[in-house]
Amino acid sequence: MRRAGQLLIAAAAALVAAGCGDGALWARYRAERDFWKACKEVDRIQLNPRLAPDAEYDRALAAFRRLAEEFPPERWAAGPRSAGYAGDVAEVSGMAALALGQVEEMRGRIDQAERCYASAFERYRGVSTVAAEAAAGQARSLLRLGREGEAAAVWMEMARDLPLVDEKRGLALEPALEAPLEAARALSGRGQAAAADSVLDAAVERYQRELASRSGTEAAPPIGMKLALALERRREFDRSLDAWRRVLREPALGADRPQVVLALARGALEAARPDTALVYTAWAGREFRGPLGAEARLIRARAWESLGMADSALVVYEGLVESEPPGSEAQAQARFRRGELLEKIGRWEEARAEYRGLAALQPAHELALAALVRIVRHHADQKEGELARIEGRRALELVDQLIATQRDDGVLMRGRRARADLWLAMGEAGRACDALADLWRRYPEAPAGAEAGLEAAQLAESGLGDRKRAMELYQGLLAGSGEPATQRQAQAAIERLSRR
Amino acid sequence: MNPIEQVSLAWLALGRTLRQAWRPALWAPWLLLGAVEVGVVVLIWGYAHPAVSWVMAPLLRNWAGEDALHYPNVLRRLPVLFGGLDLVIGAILGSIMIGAATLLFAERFRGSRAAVGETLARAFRRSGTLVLSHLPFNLLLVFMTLGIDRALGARRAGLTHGVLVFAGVVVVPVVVQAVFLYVGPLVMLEGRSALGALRELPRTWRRGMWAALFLGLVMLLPLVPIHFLSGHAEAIAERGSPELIGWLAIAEVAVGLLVWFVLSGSACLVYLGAIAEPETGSAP
Repeated sequence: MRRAGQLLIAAAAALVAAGCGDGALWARYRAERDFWKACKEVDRIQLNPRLAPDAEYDRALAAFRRLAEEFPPERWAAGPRSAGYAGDVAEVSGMAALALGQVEEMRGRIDQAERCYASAFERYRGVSTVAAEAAAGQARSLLRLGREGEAAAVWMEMARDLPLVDEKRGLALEPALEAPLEAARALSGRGQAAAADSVLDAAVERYQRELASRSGTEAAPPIGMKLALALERRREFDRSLDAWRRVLREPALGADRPQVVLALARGALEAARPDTALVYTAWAGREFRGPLGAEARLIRARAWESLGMADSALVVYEGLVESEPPGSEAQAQARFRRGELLEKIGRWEEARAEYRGLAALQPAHELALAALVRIVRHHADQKEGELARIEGRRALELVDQLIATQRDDGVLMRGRRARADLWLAMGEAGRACDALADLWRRYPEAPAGAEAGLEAAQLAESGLGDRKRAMELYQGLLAGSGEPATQRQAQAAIERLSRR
Repeated sequence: MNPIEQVSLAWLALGRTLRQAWRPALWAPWLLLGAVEVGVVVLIWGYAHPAVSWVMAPLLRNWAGEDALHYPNVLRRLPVLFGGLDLVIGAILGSIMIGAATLLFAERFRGSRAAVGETLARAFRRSGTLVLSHLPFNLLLVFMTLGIDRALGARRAGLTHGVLVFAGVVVVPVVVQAVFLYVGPLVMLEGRSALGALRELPRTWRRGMWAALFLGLVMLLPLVPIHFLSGHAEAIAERGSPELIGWLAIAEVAVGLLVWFVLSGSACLVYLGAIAEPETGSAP
C-alpha cells in the first residue's frame, strides 16, 4: 500500500516536471510579456521622439525583432495550431513585426518602415489582423515616400486578398474595408478614373456579398458604412442612401447611430435632395444633443441654402450662434457660414460684420483667421485696392497681436500662415514670400511648413522672378524637409532651374 | 495590572521575543506557513508554465475570467487573488501555526526546549479547536474590512473618507486582533475547547487588553508600507515592472511572518506573565 502511494506520488511529480499543461499558453505568456516590455521601451521614446537617442530606438527595435523571431508565424500561425493560444502567439508576434515599422516611422526612416511593413504583410498573411495593419502601414509609407502608384497597388492587393472580417473575433477588419476606397482615391488622384471606378465596383460587390451573410452580426454595420461610402464615391447617391438606411436597421450599430443619421442627412444633401436632408436633420435635432445636434443644424442650414431659402438658413445659423456656447466649434462654423452666405447674397456690410465678429470673439480659431483673409480678398476681388490694403493692415495688426500673445504652437503656425495669405491677398508678393519662407524655417518638419516652403519657392520663381532665391529655397527644402514627396518636388524644381 | 504596567510588559515581551529570533526552531511553524503562502503566490504568478497550467489556468479562468490569463493582468490582480486565498490559508493553517508557535515559545520562555516535530503534531491534533476558536476573529476581520471597503466606495474624498481609511487600516485590525490575541495560549496552554477559550476572553481583556492593543499597534507599522504598495498594483504594473507586484506579494508574506512570529511570542509571554492562572503557567 505504502509502495503504491510512493509510486503514485512519483508519477504525479514526473507528470508535473514533464509539463502536461498547454505549451502554447506558456508561449503566449512569454510573447505577451516580451511585447509588453518592448512597448515600455517605445513609451520612453514617445516622451519626445525627436530627442530620443539612437540607442533607445535600437533597443526597442531589437526587442521587437527578437520577439518576432522567437515566435515565427511559420510555426504559430500554421495549420491546426493556429487556433486558440497558438493563434494568439502568432498575433502578438505579428504585432511585434508591425511595431518595427511603427518605430522606424517615429524615427523618420520611412523607407525602412516601408520595408518592415512589407515584410510583415508577406510573413503574416495567415494572421488577418496583422496582415491588414501591415499592408495599410506599407501603403501609408509608400504614400509618404511619394510612390503613389505602388501605394495604390498595395491597397488593391489588400482589397483583393484580405478577408473583410476577422473570423476569430467576428469583427470587421477596418484597414481591409478601407483599402478599396483608398485605392480608388489614389487611382483618381493619378488620373486613372476608369480604374478607380472599377475598383469601387468590385468593392461594392464584395461588400454586398459579405453583408448578405453577416447581417445582424457585429461586423455588419462597418461593412454597411463602407458600402454606402463606396456608392457615394461612385456618385450613386440613391443606392448610397439605401445602404445607410440598412446600416441604421442593424442591431449591432450601437453608439455609431447618431453618426449614421448625420451621414444620411449629408448623403441626401449630396444627392441633391435637401428636403430629405431636412427630415433627417430634424430627426437628429430631436434625438441628439451636444456637438452632434449642432452638426445636424449646420447640415440643416446647408439644406435650406440648397433650396435657395437663404432666410431660413440664416435663421438656423442665428439660432446656432445664440444657443451654442461661446468659443465653441459650432459657433465658429455658424458665424463663418453665415458670413459666406451673406456675402453670396450681396449683403456685404452684414457679412463683414459677421467676419469681424468671429475674428474678435474667437481670434485663435482657424475660421477667424480665414474670415480676416476673406475680408481683404473681397475688396481685392472688387478691385478696391485701397480698401483691401486698409483692411489688410488692420488684419495684420490683429494677427501680429495674436502671434505675440499666444504660446500654442498650432495657433502660432495658423497665425503665420494667415499673415502670408493676407500679404498675398493684398498683392504684396515679396512680403508674402518672406512670410511663407519664415513659416517654412520655423516648422520644417510639419507638413504645413513644407507646403509653405514650396509655395514660397514657387512664388519667388514665378511671381517675383527671383531665380536665385527660389533655388535657395528649393535646396533648403531638399535638405531639410522630412517629407519625401516634398523633397522629390524640390529636386525636380532644382533640376528644372539648373537646366535654364 | 494598570494600562501603563501592561504596556511596559508588552514592550519587554517584544524585546525578549525579538532576542529569540535567531533560534531556528521557533521559526518552524512560520516557515511552514510561509512556504505554503509563497507557493500560492508562485502558482498564481507562474500559472502559464506547463508544469502547473493544467490546473492553474482553468482555476484562474473560472475565478477571474479569461482576461486574467493575459500578461500582465494576472500580476495586476495578484494582490486581490492572493489576498482572498491568504484569508483561507490564514484561517486554517495560520490558526494551527499560532498554536504551535505558542507552545514553542512557552517552552522556550520556561527554559526548556520542545521538539519541533512533536509540537507541530500536537498543534495539528488540536487543529479543529484552533481553527474554530480563531474563526470569529477571521470572520469579524473580513466582514468589517468589507464593510469599510464598501463605505469607502461610496465616499471618495473628504473627512469621512479619511476617517474610514484610518478605521480600515488601523482601528479595526488592531482592535479585532487585540480582542482575540490570547486565544492561542488559552487553547494550547490552558487546554480549553474552542467555546471555552472564547468564554475566557473577557478575563484576558481585563488583564491584558492594553498590552494586546499596544502589540497590535506596533506590529501594524511594518505592514503599512507593504499594504500601501499592494493597493497601487495597477500603477506599479503601468509605470514599473509588473513582476514587482509578485515580489511585493512575497515581501508581504515575509513581513507578515515576522510580525506573526513577534506577535505570537510576545502574546505568549504577556499571557504567561499577566493572564495565566498560577497552575497553568508561571512567569519566566
